[in-house]
Amino acid sequence: MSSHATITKGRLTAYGIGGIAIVVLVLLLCICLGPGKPGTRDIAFGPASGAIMKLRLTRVGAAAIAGAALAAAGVLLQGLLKNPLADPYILGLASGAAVGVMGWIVLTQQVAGMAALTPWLLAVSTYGTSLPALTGALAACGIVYFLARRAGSLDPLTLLLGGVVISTMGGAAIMLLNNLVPYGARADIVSYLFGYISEGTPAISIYIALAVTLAAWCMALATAGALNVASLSDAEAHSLGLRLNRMRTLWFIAASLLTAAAIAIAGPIGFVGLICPHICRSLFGPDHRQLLVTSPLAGATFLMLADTLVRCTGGWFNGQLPVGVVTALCGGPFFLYLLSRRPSWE
Amino acid sequence: MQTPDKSPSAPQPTAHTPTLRADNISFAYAATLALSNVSFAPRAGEILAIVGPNGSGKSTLLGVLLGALKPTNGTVYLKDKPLAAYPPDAIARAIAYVPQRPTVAFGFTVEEVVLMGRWPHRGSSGASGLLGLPGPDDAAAVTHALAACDITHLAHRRFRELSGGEQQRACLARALAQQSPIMLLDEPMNALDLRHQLQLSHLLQTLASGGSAIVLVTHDLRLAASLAQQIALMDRGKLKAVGTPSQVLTPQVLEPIYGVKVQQSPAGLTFALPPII
Repeated sequence: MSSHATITKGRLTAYGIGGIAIVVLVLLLCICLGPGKPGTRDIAFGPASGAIMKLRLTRVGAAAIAGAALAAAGVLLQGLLKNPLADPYILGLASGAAVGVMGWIVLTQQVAGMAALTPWLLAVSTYGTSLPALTGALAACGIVYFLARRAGSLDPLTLLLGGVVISTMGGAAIMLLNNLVPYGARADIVSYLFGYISEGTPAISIYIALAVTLAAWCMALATAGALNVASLSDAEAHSLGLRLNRMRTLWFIAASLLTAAAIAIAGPIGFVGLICPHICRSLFGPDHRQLLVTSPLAGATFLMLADTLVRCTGGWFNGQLPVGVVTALCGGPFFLYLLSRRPSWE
Repeated sequence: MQTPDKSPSAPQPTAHTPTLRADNISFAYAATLALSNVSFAPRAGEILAIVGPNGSGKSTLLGVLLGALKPTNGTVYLKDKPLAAYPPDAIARAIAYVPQRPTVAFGFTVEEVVLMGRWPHRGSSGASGLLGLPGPDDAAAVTHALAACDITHLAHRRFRELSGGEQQRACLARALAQQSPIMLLDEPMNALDLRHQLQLSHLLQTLASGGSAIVLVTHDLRLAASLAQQIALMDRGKLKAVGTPSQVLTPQVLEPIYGVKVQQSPAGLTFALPPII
């Protein structure tokens, strides 16, 4: 028997309000946690309260936006491709972004003959790398889109295959560019490839990412009912009046924008976009209207907690871990537990 | 399956509603011609059965009638206007489709799948807001369709957990919830047990007598003979004959197309392979 009930307005509102309350609580908790032990009282009343608040709020806020964007993109791509294994990077956006950043670093080094490369790499995800990351990600999804658009229609399988090929080619290009970077700097690049959220992220980057995420999420939510109908075969979806090509193009653009926004402020963090939709599908059912409300809130919560763990455990590991390591190591076992109970796509 | 009642959620077309008309249509998959100059018109209040050997273009013809496939030549008309002139929602409110092999990704329940049949009516059925959440009319139509297809007890089961026959009935319920006066069905009896075959036959006859136009693709010539008022016989993409069962289902017409011996008796048609020489 099914464990979920059919969607209603009240149910959707309750999920939205409950989810936002949890996100706000977790955000406040995460701001209170971190090295240096400035507790709630210090943040509120201490002499350095303004600076600490600003730094932590920047980082926690960036994590929340990136997590929400990745989880929403995951819902869209899994629905669009009718494939529960799809994640925001399956269309080659992560490798596109990484190639963009690597290419930018190498180009800067070659053109300016910069010796001071290390500060660039340490400052990943700052304004300097946001733009190359965004350019690389959008270029990759543009190539995949035009590969998959044949005879006026967007074919999900070709989209998937094109994404896999672009990802593989991007991986090769990363290795190629990696060999052009001084040996000592390569560890930072590996770190970037797992995702990294910085206190130094410029406010303008966060505002742009927030605006893009909200706009793309609104596009997605307004068409979420159609995403349900697109779960049927193409002929059945067509027989129900769905303009499949138009909607697939819209979902592809929305998912690309969401992923690019996340990459621009946090690098290519893995796993959030894969598991959050699955967790929410297990808990609330497959209706994409519910998923597009619950999954971004779950993604925001998950990434804020994961990044806070990174901040709090920096002393244990010779510096902070890439947040992607935590999302995979913490999210993976939970996902496997869910799978052992009942696969969410069944 | 039960006889549809006359509740507000039941389709209420009139017997003289103009329906679909295929006018000299051809369709090709790349270089392969699948349909060649096919013309015919199902009538409101009647069941039209499309029969023919494998690969004769029956399902392709349904795809073209549905508007999912664009004919390479010719025009499909709906109420005397080309099908392409209508927005997709309007076509969906006029034509429902039951596929041969239903596909539903993810764990949607039967009720949710049947509710998808209300998608073309969003915004006009008491549905709430931009999200197209179901309204009271949608709930009534779904309840009625589930009961008509004898699957009310399966409403909260996941569609993908059902047997083939139960899935087929759920798809039929979705088509009923769509409340379209024209229904296209692609081999709907294939996965059904004897009882549900008889119930579906009765349901289709009831819908037709209520004014719906039913187009049914089937391999079962006996079923076509017993159920349909018109038979369209396809072979290699061409329409070989259209007429009443007594005009089309004769040894002279069927034998050259199927390559079998056909005998007609008061008990019906019997078939046998020709002797091997």
